Amino acid sequence: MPDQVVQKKPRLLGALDFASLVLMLAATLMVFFYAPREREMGEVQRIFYFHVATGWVGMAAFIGAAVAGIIYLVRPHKKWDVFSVAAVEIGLVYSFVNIVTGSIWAYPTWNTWWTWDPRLVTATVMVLTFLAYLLLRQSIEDPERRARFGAIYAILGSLTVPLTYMSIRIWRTIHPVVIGSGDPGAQGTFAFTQPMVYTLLVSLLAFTVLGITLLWHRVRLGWLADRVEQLRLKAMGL
Amino acid sequence: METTNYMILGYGVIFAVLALHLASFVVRNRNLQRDLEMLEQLEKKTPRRKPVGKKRK
Repeated sequence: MPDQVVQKKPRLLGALDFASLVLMLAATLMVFFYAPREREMGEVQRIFYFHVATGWVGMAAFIGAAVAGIIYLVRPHKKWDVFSVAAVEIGLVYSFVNIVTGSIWAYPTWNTWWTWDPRLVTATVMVLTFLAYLLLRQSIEDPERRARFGAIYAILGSLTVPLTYMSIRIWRTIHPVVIGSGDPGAQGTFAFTQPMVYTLLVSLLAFTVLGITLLWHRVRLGWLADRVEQLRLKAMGL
Repeated sequence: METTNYMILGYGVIFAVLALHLASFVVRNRNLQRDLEMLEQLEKKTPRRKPVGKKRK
């Protein structure tokens, strides 16, 4: 890994830090002061904007980890392994937020914190699959073997992403569908107004930029950890 | 329906988790930088070892 990359923060990353801050602030203000109060569900419906945005970033990050895994298998280079781990970590954090906020929204809407609905189950399976990815990596000492197994696991694990996305479209469910038509029995659906659409779009943009920014920071952290590991092995005379 | 408390709880969780994640970046970065400095100093101080298994003529 190039040392200067570890030490010096690129200008573009600084710009992304600033853009993330501004966009997150804008999205938050729009959620609370621009988007209208939903008539039936009340204030809790405002969770929707960040709930969808975190779900999108979580899934995109897992797909990113799988793509990095494919590239690693074709052209084995440490940087793709570092990228894959970083993407999984970002995916786990965002997906965790997505599930928890979904549960909080579900209580006043469905009258329960949790139900064995296809979407909730597939989303949880997705998170547990990638949690196991981190555990698998910890159990393998040889870095090359760890990276190769990690790449294969990330590719296979990413199959849970389309399954989660499609679950509300192919099975009977009470989870509402945002894009396209869902099950008529879904609870928590609402009519979209123009300000709601704009708020959702800004939230999606804000979380996408934040996700990319955090991913880049996490990759740099991975490079730094790799450099420290190399020096440690050298100091031990290995 | 009065659901303001659930909204506050939801956004509280979102910002708390994101803040914790950011804090973990700062802590991990600080620890790694400290380790890097220490290892680099150690590398400078330690004289280079001769390769094992090679005898002097």
